Amino acid sequence: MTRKSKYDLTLFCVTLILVALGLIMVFSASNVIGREKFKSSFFFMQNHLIRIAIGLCCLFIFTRIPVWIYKKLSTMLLIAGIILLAALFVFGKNFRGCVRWLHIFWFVFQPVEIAKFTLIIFIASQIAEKKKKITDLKEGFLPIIGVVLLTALLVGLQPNLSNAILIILLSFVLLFIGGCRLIHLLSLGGALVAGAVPVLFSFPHVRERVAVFLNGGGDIQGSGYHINQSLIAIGSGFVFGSGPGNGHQKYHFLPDPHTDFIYSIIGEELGLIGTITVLIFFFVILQRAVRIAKRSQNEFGYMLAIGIGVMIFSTALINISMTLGLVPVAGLPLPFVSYGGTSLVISMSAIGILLNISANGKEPAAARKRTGTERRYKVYARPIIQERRA
Amino acid sequence: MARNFPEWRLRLLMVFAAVIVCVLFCRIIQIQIIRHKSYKEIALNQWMVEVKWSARRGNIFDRNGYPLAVSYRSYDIGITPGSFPDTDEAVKYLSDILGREKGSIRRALKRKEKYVLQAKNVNLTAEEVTKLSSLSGVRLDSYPERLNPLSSISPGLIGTIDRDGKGMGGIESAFQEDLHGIDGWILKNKDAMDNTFKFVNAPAMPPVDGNDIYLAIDSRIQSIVDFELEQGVIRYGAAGGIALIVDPCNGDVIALSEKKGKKGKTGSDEYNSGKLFSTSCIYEPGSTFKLITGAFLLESKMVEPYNVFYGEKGTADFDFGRFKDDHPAEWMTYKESFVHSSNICTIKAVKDAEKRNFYSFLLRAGFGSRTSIDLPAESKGKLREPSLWSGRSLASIAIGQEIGVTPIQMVMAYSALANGGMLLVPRIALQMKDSHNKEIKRFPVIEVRRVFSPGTVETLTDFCTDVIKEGTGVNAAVDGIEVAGKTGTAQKSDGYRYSEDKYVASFIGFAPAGDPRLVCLVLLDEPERSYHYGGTSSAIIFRKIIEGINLSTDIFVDGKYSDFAIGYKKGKKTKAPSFLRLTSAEAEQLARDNDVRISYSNGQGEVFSQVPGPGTLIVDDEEIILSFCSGISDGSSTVTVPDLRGLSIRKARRMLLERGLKSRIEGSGTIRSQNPGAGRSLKAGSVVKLNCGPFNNYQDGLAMDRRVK
Repeated sequence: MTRKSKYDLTLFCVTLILVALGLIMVFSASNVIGREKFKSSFFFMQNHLIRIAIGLCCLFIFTRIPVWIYKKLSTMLLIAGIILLAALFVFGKNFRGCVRWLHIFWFVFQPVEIAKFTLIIFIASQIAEKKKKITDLKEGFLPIIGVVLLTALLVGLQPNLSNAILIILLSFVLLFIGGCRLIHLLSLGGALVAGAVPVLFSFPHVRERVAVFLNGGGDIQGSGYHINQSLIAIGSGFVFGSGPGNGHQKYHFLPDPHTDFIYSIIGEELGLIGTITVLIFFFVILQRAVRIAKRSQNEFGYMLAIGIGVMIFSTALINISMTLGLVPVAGLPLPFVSYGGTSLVISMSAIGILLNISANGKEPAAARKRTGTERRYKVYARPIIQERRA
Repeated sequence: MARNFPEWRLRLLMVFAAVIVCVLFCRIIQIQIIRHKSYKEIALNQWMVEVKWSARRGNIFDRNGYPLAVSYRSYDIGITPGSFPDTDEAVKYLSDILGREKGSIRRALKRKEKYVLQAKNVNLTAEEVTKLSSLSGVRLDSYPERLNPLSSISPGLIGTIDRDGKGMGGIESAFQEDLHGIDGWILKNKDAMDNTFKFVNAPAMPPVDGNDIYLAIDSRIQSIVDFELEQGVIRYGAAGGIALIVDPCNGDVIALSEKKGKKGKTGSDEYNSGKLFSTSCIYEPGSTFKLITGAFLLESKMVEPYNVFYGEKGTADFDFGRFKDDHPAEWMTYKESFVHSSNICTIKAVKDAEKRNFYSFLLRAGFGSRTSIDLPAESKGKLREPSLWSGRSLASIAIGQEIGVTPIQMVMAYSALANGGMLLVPRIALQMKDSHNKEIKRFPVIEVRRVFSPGTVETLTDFCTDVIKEGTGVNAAVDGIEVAGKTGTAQKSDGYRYSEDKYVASFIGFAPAGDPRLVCLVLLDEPERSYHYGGTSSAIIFRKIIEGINLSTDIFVDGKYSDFAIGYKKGKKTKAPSFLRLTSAEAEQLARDNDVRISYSNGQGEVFSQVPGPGTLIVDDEEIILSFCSGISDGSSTVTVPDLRGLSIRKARRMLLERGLKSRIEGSGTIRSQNPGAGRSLKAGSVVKLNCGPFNNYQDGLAMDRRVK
């Protein structure tokens, strides 16, 4: 058969476009801060370019590493991730009241990004290994949940509550897809909410952010400032935006314009076209991940693909919702686009793994028979129906 | 491959994801499309700012273009190290402007602060400002400032400006709109730290710069008046003093000076406080007002100069009260009573007059109403309706009591006498020029009404001349110029009764008496007891002022009148022809043709100066003095510089002109020093710099002696 490539090119292209867009927007958003703090408009862009290069290398390397290796190493990877998280409490450096960055030689990175990823690999391997046993509370569900809660606790203590919540959500989604019993998930979920909400609200900054969120912006000079400025940035963009580089919010009106609030800058400079395109691109990534999952040769590949897709999609979703004022301010970056090395490298590595899975996935039986002119959206549903019939 | 994962859960996940994406999509539409306008407005308010582009405030000059108040902007120059272009060219430019080494600027650029102040209060040219503001990272903060180069001038006359550049008091306030111009604006971007920066093609409305105003003030005469008044106020221990000089022909206020006394007398602090006394303070004029009464009596033919009155030996009891004279006398003519300032005789002459007639004459002479001078807060004075007069009022007003006048009203009334009877509006500003030096307004001479008939003018001028010759004003007599005037001594009233020890001593006179060029009022507020008569203090200051003017300027010489044109006979007047650049033979021919008399000393070469100047009116028997110079045109011959120290400016200039030299004069009074010194050889046409100072008997005497030896 004359198929173009065994790798999922759509996924690869969407990723590359997002990364390229990120490079442009990081430059546009950071040049003012770069010039003032580091005397170079290109400071952040140069750094970002280096990280993109590292990310691309990782992407290509991970397309070559066989997927079963992760399954074998999953426990070790998880332990490594947890050790890194724990190391933060010893070696981490405090920044804005949080301990999130670890300095090893010249490398500065966020262990939480790595831990998140290793946890997904671990859960995927566990589900794949336990198969039917996953429905069992003692053998299947609780051990996984125990690990998840431990990781979330370590992350939450940094404190990095948004990532802790994201980790629990991700795990729930994976367990849900992996066939856990709903009663287990719901009861644990209820218990977590009941137990965690008072704990969460003991943090003053959480209280404040939630209050701001519920008040619809709240005090625009104080705690509601971020969200308000973000809305002003996006709102002033209209359909086509002011054009790349022509935004004004980056002149210190919007804090962190090149990291957490880069989506606001996209909204201001690229307008509706930019915001909708980015949103759709992330949905496409999820969709491609699900498609790859369905074509994967084994359960581990299936779960891992979905895990990666959900991880990238949910992170993006929370970030975008935050800039749109739909959820309280959370310190999550926009994958591929935001300035930030660990997130970028891990996300690109994850895409590498996804591409690897896609390359080793089987061709759908129906697609094999048909000509290449068939419409794509019908393709992914068919094999499963056929499998069921079988 | 069969899997044990329930398919519906994955589908549910995708549906859920799609729903969330749709929710976000709707939210984006809501923010970016539906609420776009309001967000855009908020955004514009945040980063667009309309910055005022101030108009340059117009300058104030004296009548000769000497600056009296000049606007300038001083700048604070700062840099933002982060955004300053780190190029050699930019650093060099900045170092050139600041006059600092490049190294120090580079060091400042390396600092991590957001703003580094480089220089304060720097004066920059327009080009430098444009260039600097085009450099990114340079912040210019400018402040309007006003410089008053003639420091001695009364602050109340020129006024000041406040922080917003608005005029406060004096000319600055009176011509605020013209001087200020129209401010423009420019739209600028700003960041959240309130740093503004210009963007390309920013919408802007350039300002219209303010107009320059040329005052009637002559700064040279002004400085003489300032000096003499200040000396006088100190010498006579007064709380303050006012001196005003007006050109009677056109109402020009040539000099206006107000000085504060040295001692902490009550009221002395009000002088120099920014209040303009010449137009706003009301005082009882005393005997100087007898001139107005005299004019009324002469105009209404109630008295003749040679009518005789009995002086009651200094004390007279009328029906309406007792009046006294300072100089007891018996029988005297009306003229003698004026010359010796007899209250009793004046009252006797006026007591039968109709109150209403006297009142309306005072109104006609400008009392009880503003003179309409272009200065703020002018007072009307205090003149009550005749229906409110008591039995004593007519007599009191006739001798300058029970009436409040302003100094400017008195000067204008005397000016009317000096110019032949026409009351004029005092003119403080002559012309207005726009920022391109184009004249846009010329202030006209405004005649109010004829107040005195020619006969009255002649008679009263004669009276005033006699006041100086033999009356109360003998101290005002000036060598070489016949002056006329009237003294005045008024007790100050505290509201209920006249004070025994507080006086206002004044003198108003004009010179030359024949065809007056200047009217001068000198007023001393509360001089010490021994100097409380106008004739013993103010008259002396008047004399010194006129002497100073005569020494320093040609105002009594060239103009229309010769300084020896004594007498007020008005002969046939002809225009002096121009003899300039003629040879002696040609000049004689021209003189014969025009039937004028000429005289000259050294008859060689061309005429380079003539007195009176070409085009001025001369009485038919007047002589035109010509000066010749042989080498002025070719500039090759050399001449020796004479010793000019101790001479009057007029004399010194004439001596230099005779030798074909030019002069540049600094200061006023007599020559203190000269450069080049006496005896040096100079090329004809060279400039000799003369430094002048006030007349000083001792030093000038020494200089005279030296010259004689």
